[in-house]
Amino acid sequence: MIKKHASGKNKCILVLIQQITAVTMIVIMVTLLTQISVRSERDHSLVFYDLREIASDNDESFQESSSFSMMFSEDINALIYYLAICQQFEENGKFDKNRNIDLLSYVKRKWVSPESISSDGSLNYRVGDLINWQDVNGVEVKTVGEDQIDVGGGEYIPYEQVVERYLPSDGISIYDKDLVSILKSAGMWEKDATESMDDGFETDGIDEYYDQTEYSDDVDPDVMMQADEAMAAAESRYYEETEDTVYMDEDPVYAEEQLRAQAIITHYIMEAARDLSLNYKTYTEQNDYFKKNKSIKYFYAPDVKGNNYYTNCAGEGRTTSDYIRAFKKAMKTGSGSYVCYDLSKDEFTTVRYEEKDVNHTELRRFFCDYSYAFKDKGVFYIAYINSDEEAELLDGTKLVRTDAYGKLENVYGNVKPNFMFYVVTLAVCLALFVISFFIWCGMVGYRREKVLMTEEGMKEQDGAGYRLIRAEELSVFDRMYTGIFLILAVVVEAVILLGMALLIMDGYMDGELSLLTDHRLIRICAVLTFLWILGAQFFWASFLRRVKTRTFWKNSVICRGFLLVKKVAGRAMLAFADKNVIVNLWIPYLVFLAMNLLILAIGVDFINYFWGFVAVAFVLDILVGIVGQRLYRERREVLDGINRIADGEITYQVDVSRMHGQNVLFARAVNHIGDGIHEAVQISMKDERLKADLITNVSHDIKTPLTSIINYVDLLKRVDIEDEKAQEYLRILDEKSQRLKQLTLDLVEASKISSGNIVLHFEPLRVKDLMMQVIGEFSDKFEEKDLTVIAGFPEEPVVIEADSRRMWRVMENLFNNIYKYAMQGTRVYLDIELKDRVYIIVKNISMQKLNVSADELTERFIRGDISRSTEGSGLGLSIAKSLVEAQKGEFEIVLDGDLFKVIMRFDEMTKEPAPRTEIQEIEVLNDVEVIENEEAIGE
Amino acid sequence: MATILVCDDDVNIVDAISIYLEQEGHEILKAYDGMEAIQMLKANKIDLLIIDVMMPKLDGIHAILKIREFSMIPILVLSAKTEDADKILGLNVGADDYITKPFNPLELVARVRSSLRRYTKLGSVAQTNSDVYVSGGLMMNDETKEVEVDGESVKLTPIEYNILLLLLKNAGKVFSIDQIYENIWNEEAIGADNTVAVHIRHIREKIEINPKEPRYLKVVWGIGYKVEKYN
Repeated sequence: MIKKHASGKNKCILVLIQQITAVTMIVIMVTLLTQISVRSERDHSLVFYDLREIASDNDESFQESSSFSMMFSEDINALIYYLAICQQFEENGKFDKNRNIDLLSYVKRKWVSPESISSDGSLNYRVGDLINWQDVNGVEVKTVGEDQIDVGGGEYIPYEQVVERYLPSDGISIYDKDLVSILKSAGMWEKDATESMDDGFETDGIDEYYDQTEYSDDVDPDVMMQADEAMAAAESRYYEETEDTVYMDEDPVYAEEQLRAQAIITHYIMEAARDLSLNYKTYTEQNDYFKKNKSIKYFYAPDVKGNNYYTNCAGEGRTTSDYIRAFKKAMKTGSGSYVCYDLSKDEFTTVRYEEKDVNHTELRRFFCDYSYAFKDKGVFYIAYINSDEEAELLDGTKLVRTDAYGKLENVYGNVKPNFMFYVVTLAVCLALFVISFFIWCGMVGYRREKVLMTEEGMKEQDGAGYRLIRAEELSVFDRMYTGIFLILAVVVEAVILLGMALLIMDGYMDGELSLLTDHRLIRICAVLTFLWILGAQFFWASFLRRVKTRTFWKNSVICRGFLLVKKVAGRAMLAFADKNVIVNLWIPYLVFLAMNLLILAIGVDFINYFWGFVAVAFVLDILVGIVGQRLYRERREVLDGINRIADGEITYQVDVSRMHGQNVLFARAVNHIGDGIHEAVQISMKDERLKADLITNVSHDIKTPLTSIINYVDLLKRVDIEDEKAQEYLRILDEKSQRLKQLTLDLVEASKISSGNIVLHFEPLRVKDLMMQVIGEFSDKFEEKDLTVIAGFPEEPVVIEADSRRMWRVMENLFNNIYKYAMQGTRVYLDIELKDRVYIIVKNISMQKLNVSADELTERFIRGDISRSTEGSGLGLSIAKSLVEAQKGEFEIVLDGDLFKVIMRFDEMTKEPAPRTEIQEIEVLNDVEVIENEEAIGE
Repeated sequence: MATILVCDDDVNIVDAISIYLEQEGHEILKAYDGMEAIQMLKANKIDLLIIDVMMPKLDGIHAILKIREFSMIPILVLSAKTEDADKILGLNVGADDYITKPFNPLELVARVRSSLRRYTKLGSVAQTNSDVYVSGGLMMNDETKEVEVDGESVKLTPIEYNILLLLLKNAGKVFSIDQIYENIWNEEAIGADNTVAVHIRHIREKIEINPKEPRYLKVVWGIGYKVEKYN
């Protein structure tokens, strides 16, 4: 069925369908992939839309979608952490490096409220210092301040010195402070303080820190270990330096406690520094995101009554209560999502947001993690604004939505309504692709049969004018080695595919960082898909053609090699298959070789006589050569015999007695062939003679009754018959009986000539004289038909060797022919030419149109007019030709329009004939006797 | 006039020949095989024998051989065998003429007449005159300028007469066209002329019973012409 339509046009259409559908599918898929994923600006992670959500046909708005709530939740979570950090670093909404942190309350912030630690501020540290100390290890935080660490020259100082200078903000070294009492007063001094000092320390954002894999290198465990080692070294040095000098006089117990306290404080400093530096990184990363965010608006005030607050809402001079009012109003009137947390009441108020799967417990957990940072008196607002009014209200600006939220909302607005369309298009394209692919596969390799009526075409009704291409019709590419073809196909396709995959991956991973925008990515993917499909179709079609023409395996390198091996093996097998070859050729050859080697080997043993052995070997080799020469000569003789037999000497026999070896067999075989041919020729000749005899005898038997017929017809003519009709009948009878007579005579003659049953008497013949005589004989007849003979004879006598009476018969037949068939009143040309041979040329104009070929004219019983109504047996030309050929001449008839031309060629005899004498006749008589005897023997 | 024995195994042919010869006034005896012919020859006085070759009991050739042992009458062989060898064989064993079947009845009659004449008249003619040239039934008297064939006179033109005389004088010798021309016209032959050939044909038509199978003036094709020499 499919093959019936395997025209180039249809194949082209199918190929195009495949390409179009494939490209369409890729475009849709890439579009969906790029559209439904958004890269978060906060942490650069990808946010995917839930496909099920997009696929579902509910009418929920973007803010009700799980994708939104997920993103919003993450932002809330991040914001809470961010706010906690802000409280550590910021003063009036800006980073303040000189901000003091009380080390002890910071360390214990998660376990006890800051108020419960009575700190005198002697262990207050500046934030910038702490961060920088951590950065000594290599982490560059240049934004901390111009004077990084005040050691002069802006250079980093060795770590040991840094430790030495762990100066609190009051400028008194920790070594000069009564650390034990400070710790005790802070309630952090216990007997085993050193052992438990790790317990009380936990980083704020360590979890988040580790989550951010991009920075994981900076918290290398090695770095931590280095810090610990350095501290231990400082401790030991302190002991060395101070043990004798400072504390020797004092209470040794005190001194030991002091040392322990120093170690604890140093440890705390290190931990705090590390913690803060991490926080600082997070702070700097998220500062821009939150501070400049247009979609998310937040407000946090640690104390509702105070004027200290953290917010990204614009508005100079607005008080806390102003903000709270604005938010409250927005929550009532706006269309965005809101979360409000009143810490004094521990009460959540949410708008829209809680309708999704995030509940208050979860929100509370966010805050719990950073509860130390949020005062009980504070209030927290976060808003996802969704209208200009809200933006005006909260921020004093218009709503701008260019961020990830904007993108997601956009997708939600564009993709979701059209999602079914995409899916259906995809399905349709896939179906079309698959169907067209399979139909095309069926068509590949078929082509239009040029001649519909050939046998093949008739047989293959299914193909109906289309047939499978033959292996020899394959293109150069299709004939390429299968291995090379496969490698080429895989490489080309893989390169295109890999390129496309890399591009998509690239566009994916890097998001905005990528050079490719969504549209460019789609375009490039479309082009690459088109190329890939094109290549795939090309290679697949070639593969199908190879399989269908059964050349896939045949053209492979392995198969070719296999065949080559088979061929070589076959030849070797053939060479040794004939045992005679081994016996007659290989064994003698090996014996010859072995003999030579053996003689020489022995000669080497008897080195003194070496040349003697060589001479012996030489003589033996010459003998072998002579034998070879003789065999060759004999073979020549056999060949000579074959040629002689082939040339007609069928009785030739090769002399077997002189042959040796295999040549005997050859000679016998040749003789056998000769005998066979001789026998066949004899039988054939005998058959011919029998045939001629039969014809002769039959003609004899015909002649006797014919004689009676002729005689009585003649007698009847003498009877006086009045009836005219009877006379007419009689005339016809007479005519036909005469014709029958002529026919019988000619028939016998023709059969005798063709069977070679005639005896020829060759004698020198003067052609000119012969022609004169013939012309003389026919002069009356030609006059009767008004035919003029134009004789063109050379002056010198022309002599040939021929049988004179047969030559007369030939000429008689020819001239009779002319008399019968030449047009009345025309000229007859009779030329004798002397060239390489003697040419006798007779030309005349035919009376009737000649509708037979020249060859047919010399066939027996053929006459120029075909109809046999007129006299003549139709054997005249045939007899003439046979006779000429019997006399070693050539006889050729040329027809040129109405010109009838006979060319006879004989060999010229140079000798002038001797005058004819009586002797001739006697010879003839003697011949008769001979013939008599021969016949007697023959019978 | 004469008694003729016709011998053929075909009754119809014998009858037909009889009719023709009886019309000539001959008396006809009939035989149907060789043995019968010999017996009839011995029993009757017969002037001429017409005999077929292929016959039952005794064939013509052997019959002739036996007949020649006791009789010298003219014998005409009538045969379906047309080969030269057959003719020569027949003439050699003693036949005077050889006629092939199917024959022209008129020719047969003419030949019979010719043979009879030769047998009855010429056989006894003595050649005394030196100007008389004879070959078989052909006689030329150069003195009287007469030409006779089997006793019947023939009229020839002077050129024809001269040609025939030249050939008859040298009976058995072959003259080429040029030789004849030079002898008769007494001028050099230029060649490429069929005058001689035409004349020869005309002579043949006058003196021969069957010009296509001449008995006296024969054509030696490609060589020349001759008059056959008979005793």
